[in-house]
Amino acid sequence: MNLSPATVSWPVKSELSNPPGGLLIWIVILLELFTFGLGLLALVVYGRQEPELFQSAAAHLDTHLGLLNTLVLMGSGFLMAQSVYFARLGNLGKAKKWIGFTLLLGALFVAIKTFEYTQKLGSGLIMDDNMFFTLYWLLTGFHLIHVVVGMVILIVLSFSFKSGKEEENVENLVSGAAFWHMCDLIWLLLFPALYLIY
Amino acid sequence: MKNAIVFSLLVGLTLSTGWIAQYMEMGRNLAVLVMALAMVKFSLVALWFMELVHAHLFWKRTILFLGALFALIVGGLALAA
Repeated sequence: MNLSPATVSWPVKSELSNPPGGLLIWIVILLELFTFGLGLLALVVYGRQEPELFQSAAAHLDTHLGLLNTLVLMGSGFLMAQSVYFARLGNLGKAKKWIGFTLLLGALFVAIKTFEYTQKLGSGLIMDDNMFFTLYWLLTGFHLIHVVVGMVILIVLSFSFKSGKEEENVENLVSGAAFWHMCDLIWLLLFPALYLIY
Repeated sequence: MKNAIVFSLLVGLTLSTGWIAQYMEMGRNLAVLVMALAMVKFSLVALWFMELVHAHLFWKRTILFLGALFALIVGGLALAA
């Protein structure tokens, strides 16, 4: 039996006004991408003005922890996609289980980030140390808040599945998943810009 | 199955990015390569995990354009520094 998403009884709509997960979440995603994009723009503009400072400041970041967090977030994105896949097949039990795994990796991301922040604070690398660390704390802190909000959304979603309302359940889950993946998208741009290019 | 393939690609690209940044002496070209790889990962997540592949062309174009724009700005300005 072919279990590809294309075989489920409610196909993904492709109208302009109805992207996967609904219009509102995609407007949020666009605004968030703009916001973080402007933050990245500030990072490279200031980086051009003070290249030595940015190079020496970036050397204090732990690339291995950043890389690990990227893999963790990619893993959580995969688990979330699996959850949507099973929800589309009508298997809400499995969908919930995959949400649980997603949350575990989300919690791991938060734990690694907290460890990294503790290291930075212990070394005295605070927000007003220099412009690089101002942007580092702002961008990664704002992103971390989004991850935590995403986890809260997923917890609420997993408890709000209603029997007999499959289409509504899937639509809500796809919206929540889009928010979660947005955290992936933002991190995919933040990680190289902060940890690798300087 | 396709999710697993996309995930494998993402892991491979992420590890490659880390390896290139750590061990290859590319100077300022590193920024361009690293941001190009980030854009490939961005596209995979947006198109497949976020199901943008099934969405209207407007959404595909807008999200991918934004991602490419910021990746280009970061890579380009770092290269020109």
